[in-house]
Amino acid sequence: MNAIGIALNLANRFAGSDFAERTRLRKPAEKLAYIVTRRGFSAVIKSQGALSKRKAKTNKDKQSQTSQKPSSLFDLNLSEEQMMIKDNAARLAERLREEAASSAIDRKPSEAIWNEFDELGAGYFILPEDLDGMDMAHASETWMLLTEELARGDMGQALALLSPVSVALAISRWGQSGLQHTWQSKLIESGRVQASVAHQETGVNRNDAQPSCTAQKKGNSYRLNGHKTMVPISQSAEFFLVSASLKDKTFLFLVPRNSKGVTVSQLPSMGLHSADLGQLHLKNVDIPLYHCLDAGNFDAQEWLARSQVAAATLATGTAQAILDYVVPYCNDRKAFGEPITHRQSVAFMIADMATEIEGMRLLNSRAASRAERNMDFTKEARLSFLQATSKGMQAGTDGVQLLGGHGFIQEHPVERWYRDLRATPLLAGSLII
Amino acid sequence: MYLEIPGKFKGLVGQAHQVARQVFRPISRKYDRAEHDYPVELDMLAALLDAMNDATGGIAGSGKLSQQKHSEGVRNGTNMSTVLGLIELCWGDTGLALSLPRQGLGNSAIAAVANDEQLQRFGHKWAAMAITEPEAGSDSAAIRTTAIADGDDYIINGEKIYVTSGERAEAVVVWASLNPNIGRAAIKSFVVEKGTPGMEVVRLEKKLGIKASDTAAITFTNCRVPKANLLGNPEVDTKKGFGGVMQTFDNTRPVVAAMAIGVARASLERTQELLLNKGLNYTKSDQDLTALEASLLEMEADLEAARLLTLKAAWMADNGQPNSKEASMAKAKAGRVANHITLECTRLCGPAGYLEDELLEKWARDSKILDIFEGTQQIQKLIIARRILGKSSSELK
Repeated sequence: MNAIGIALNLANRFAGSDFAERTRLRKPAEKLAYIVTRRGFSAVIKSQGALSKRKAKTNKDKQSQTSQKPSSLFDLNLSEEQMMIKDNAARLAERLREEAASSAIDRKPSEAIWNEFDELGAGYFILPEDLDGMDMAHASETWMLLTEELARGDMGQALALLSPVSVALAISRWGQSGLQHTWQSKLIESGRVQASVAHQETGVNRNDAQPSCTAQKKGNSYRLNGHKTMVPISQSAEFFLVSASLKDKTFLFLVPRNSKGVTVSQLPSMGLHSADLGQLHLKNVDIPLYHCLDAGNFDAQEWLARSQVAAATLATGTAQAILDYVVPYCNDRKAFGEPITHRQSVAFMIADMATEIEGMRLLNSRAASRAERNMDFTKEARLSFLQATSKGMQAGTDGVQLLGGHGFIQEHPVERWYRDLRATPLLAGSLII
Repeated sequence: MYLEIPGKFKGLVGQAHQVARQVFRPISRKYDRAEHDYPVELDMLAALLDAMNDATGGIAGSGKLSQQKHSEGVRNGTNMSTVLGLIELCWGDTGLALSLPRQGLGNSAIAAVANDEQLQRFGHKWAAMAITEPEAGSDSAAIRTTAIADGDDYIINGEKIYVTSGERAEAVVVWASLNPNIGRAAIKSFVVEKGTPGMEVVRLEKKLGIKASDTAAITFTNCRVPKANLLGNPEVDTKKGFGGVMQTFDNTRPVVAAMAIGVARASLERTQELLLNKGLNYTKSDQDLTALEASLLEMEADLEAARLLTLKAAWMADNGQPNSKEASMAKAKAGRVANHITLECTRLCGPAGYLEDELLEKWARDSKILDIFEGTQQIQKLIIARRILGKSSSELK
């Protein structure tokens, strides 16, 4: 209880007492309370203002080192840079939507799509300024915006396209300088290095924080053993970023595809076919020590939290695609002599879908914004992940329902979105923001 | 992007929380049991709140809400501070928060549309709002109360129900039709001061919850008010008409959403205190969560989504952006999740959730009204759906 609390408590007891009533003191007492409080609060507020200014100053000193953005007002506006990147991503998303609709999509993004993605310049966003990059490896908000837009086009292709980005982000965030330099020169050379994160494992016992895949230190290398599944771009990735337990802790290890003991196989899944998911088998795979992503600052929980926001964002973009689709469809579809959207049972499903999507987006935004400011975002990430898992799937099933029988056949994309969205909880550990 | 509570409101939120903890909580059960008794503690508090409002620019009530128009830069203004204040106050007690003098919905209507002369006369009066009639609830265009011009006066006839603070307020803002044959365009609002002959409080309702708040039925029998008491434009414009009257609600829906968030947070926090040894672990894997933890996490995610939707709607109003859809989204989500959360918490806590030595059962009763008044869940969905689908009220009924 602070000073104001104590004062209020006393005033309250006095106000309710018989003594005040009997002695008719209440009115003058109220007057006194008003004057004292007004002066008191003004003073308190002034001193709080001064204090927060002082705090802000010391924070600012820190901010210049950690690239935090100072902003003290609640604000949902995007920066010009963010809007520009989002607009470009939206154009690519339209292409993804067309590709996904054509049956030509052979379980992975086409070369043309990869090239168009490269033109977005994600590789250069990540590179530091002294290498002519945009130094945006820590721009979590931007990665979230980009992820949502691409997922609005197609969740599977978005997962594929963003996998190399996430590996690069992880390396620039947690990699040792040797690895960072290697990766940077590869990025400068080609703008993109085909790589994806391998985190999910087969079987029903899931604990995202403790992989059963293991790493052991053997002399000048780590030896990895285990099996990974749901690995994006499994056919084309040259590198896999593998999560494994080293003693009791979880770390990420960069495994070149051509390492001895690495095999890749296919196992079809319910959805996300355009992400080219595959299985990775590691049998006594030895990698150099500096391929462990730990420059002394790796925090597996933080990595997972970043990936939870990314997964939630993929679901949000996909749910938005459903909303974009069902609105014109249901307005055009007639039954009993009028558009079915003239019926509350249909209209209310769409209203709820829109509301939940907006809620999901705000949860993702808050988590990403906190991440970008180096504020703790463990809780925000988990809440966004949970909400997107349940409300995203709800949008998926309602999307099919709103189209009725047409929703169940592959002529319309809603059945695909339904299958894709079921993957949301399994996408922890795939992309990061 | 920045989705945290701005530093400049931290003090205000802290004060509102102290009011909730030190003033509301200790008397919460007392006035839940003594329905219709006037909470005398609130007079003292109202004096404090007036002081706080004057010192800080507003913490409670919807008295000064309006769509802000300004030139440049981002604003966090009255809409946001009101929402933040009410989340805290309703964490304390929803019924008492509703009973705060001079913070009623009637004050909101006056603030939104009164002219200078009217502001002078009514600005400092505690004003209730009388819209609903026995035969007209959600369909407020169907009201039958009439206001017929007669010389320099209007003569009001009709019956109003569910008037929050209808007995305690110093004035009532009454919705009535200048001409029932014209329909919604003829509906205007009138300030009727307490003691005006012909206005009579005939009954106070006994309710499921928010018992500290008095809910009155009021009749108007040849009740004569000066023409100068009509709020807004007296002309009947069949082209515009109703929109202006309804606009007040765009500003107040986020406020009711905020109330829902406050009471739901109270339930969730108390349930965690009772059932968990330490706080929730946000890093536990899905398969390791107990049923209780999983349920608490789901509820918290829903509540946080509702809270952010509410802040967004308030932020838009503060920045002059039309927010009708977003205000309805906030109200719809907050109303339904708050009711769900308060009920679920009573279930999780077993008999402790049901018996009166805890406040959980009370919060589960209080929360229900928040999914009803200021537009029911269904009305919010209609508003959202019409906006998204591009439908008129005659198409999507």
